[in-house]
Amino acid sequence: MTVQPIDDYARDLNPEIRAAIHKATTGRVIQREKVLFSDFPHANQMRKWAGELKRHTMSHLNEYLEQAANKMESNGVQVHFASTPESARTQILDIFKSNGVTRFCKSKSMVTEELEVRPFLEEHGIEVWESDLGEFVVQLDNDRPSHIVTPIIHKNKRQVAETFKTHGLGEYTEDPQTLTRQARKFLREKYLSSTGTMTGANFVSAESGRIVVVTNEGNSRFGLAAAKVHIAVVGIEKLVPRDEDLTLFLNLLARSSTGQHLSVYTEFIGGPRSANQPEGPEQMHVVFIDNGRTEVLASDCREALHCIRCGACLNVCPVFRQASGFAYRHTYPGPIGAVLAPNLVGKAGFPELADLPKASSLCGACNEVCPVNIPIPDLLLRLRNRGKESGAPNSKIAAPPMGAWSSLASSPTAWNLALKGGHLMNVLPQRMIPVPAMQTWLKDRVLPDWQGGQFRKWMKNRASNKI
Amino acid sequence: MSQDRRIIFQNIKSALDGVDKVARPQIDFSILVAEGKIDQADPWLDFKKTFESVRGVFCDSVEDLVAFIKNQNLTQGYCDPGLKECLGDPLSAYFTIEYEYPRERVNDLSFAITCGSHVIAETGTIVLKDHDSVNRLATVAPWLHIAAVETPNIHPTVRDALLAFGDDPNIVWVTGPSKTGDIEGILIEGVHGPGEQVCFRI
Repeated sequence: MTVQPIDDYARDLNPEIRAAIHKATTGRVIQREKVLFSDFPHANQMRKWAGELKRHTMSHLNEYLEQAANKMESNGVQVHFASTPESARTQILDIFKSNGVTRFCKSKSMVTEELEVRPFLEEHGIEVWESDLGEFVVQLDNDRPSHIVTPIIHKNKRQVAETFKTHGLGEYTEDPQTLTRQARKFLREKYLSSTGTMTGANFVSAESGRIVVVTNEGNSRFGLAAAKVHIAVVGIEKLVPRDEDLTLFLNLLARSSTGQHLSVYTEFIGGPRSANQPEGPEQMHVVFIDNGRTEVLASDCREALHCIRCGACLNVCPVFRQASGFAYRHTYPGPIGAVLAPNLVGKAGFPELADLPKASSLCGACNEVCPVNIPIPDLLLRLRNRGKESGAPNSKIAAPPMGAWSSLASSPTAWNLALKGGHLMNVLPQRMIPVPAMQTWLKDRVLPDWQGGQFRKWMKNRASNKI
Repeated sequence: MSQDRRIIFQNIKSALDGVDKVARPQIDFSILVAEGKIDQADPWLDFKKTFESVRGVFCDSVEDLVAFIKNQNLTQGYCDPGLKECLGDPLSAYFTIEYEYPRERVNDLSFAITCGSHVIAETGTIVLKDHDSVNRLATVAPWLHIAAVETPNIHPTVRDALLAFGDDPNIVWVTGPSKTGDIEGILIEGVHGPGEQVCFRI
């Protein structure tokens, strides 16, 4: 194979979708820059602090995780741990079944996508409703989210209109406001007739044991008002040491993600509802998930665990914009996905995704916008190396023959010959160049005329004429 | 499964074996305040500005509140019993005001007045706490939510608000109307929660 899988996706991507993704992501990049730096001229210092604080937290992860779990238990939360998706799904099913929950609304959570919670629970007779508008459309279409913040960045309003009509949400309309009202009406009935609710968590404070859930739609707030049993599914890397540390992370998160100074709803949930409340969960369960995270922690890519899922690196990435989220073949797309995905799948899954670290020009924009300053290009290089060391066939796709290049570049005679021979390329058709990677490159491009050797000639003359 | 707990902690420990413990960075939290957001002598003036910038509606007179609700064509609403004297009674001259919020009435009671605990001047945020808002559902289900906040209850900054959590199990910061940009990035307000957020200063 001479073409990387991501190039295939990019080639086959519907131009309309590409245009929509381009528009949405560039808008976000501009908005981020404007809001972040006008509010915090020293935002780059904040990004460094946030990265250092995450590095500190990860190097003490066992202590902070224990502190958080103990605090939660003393707050009346039932804490569970799941090292595999199977274990997580079974435990979640047990909690709902033992409480007689047959229907629940969930808010957006990438870790539940990772664990494929919804299809599993549906198979076991539990009705699940995604309540984030984008995720709701994804559910109705039996599709997958293609961006971690904007799940239906790959769909337009006509497609949403078709979906809502097919599922009987109301009259066909392409007006986003009317479509949103249709979803509001439909899901409100689901909320009010559900006894369960599920959220993820953006952060967990080890100090207070509170989970932080951020949304714009208020969907998690509605779930936490209407339901009796709350399950929060949380990756073990979501910890921050203290409540005060959230000053840093909350100020960075929404600005990096959507260019807002704060998302509309920021919830700090410490436990079941208080005694005076008529509404809200009587039980709160937190399920801490490993699913490959401790393997990432043990690897040379542990900084990938600092990610707070803002999506800024997706928005700024030229490869993501061309290829779309599905091209990454995993829950997490974009530059951070290219690092996280091949790591989270473990040693057994790595070969399959070993091409992803090469789905990058290493331009470094992802690192520059990252609110926790993850050195994504460095991590991509480490993964490329891992691919090479492990001999994973996918890591070699479309790789130019660097061995030949290396012997050429280390012998002055061979180099000189090659420079002279290069002039042949101006005469011979370019499609005759016998290097597959070169052929792929030439499919959409033309080489400029060969001018090699001029510099050496000039240098030689310069030496003899003593100019 | 307690076995999973043991395995995870064991895996973390072995993953961190040989990894240097990184010290906590020295962070100057006092500089983590957005530029130009809190610069007036009265923090409520700052709040009004930031709250309006997130499309919140600020009111401090009953007349203005009546006019706003009328303008929204709403006729029936819920009021927290604790706010009966200060808001419920004066509003009942114009609207049907009820003091309970049963689930069957969620679609008729199209506005709700609840007790907001605090506001945050830096971000234009209303802070709702379980101990102070009598009904969670009433803060999120109606089209119009009015949070009544007493004058002394203002946090200048995000950090001040984070340091004042106390033992309340459920604290919610609301910064403007519920919204989405999921369909083609077009901003729509009032997705699941209120399409209008009012802060009424008592």
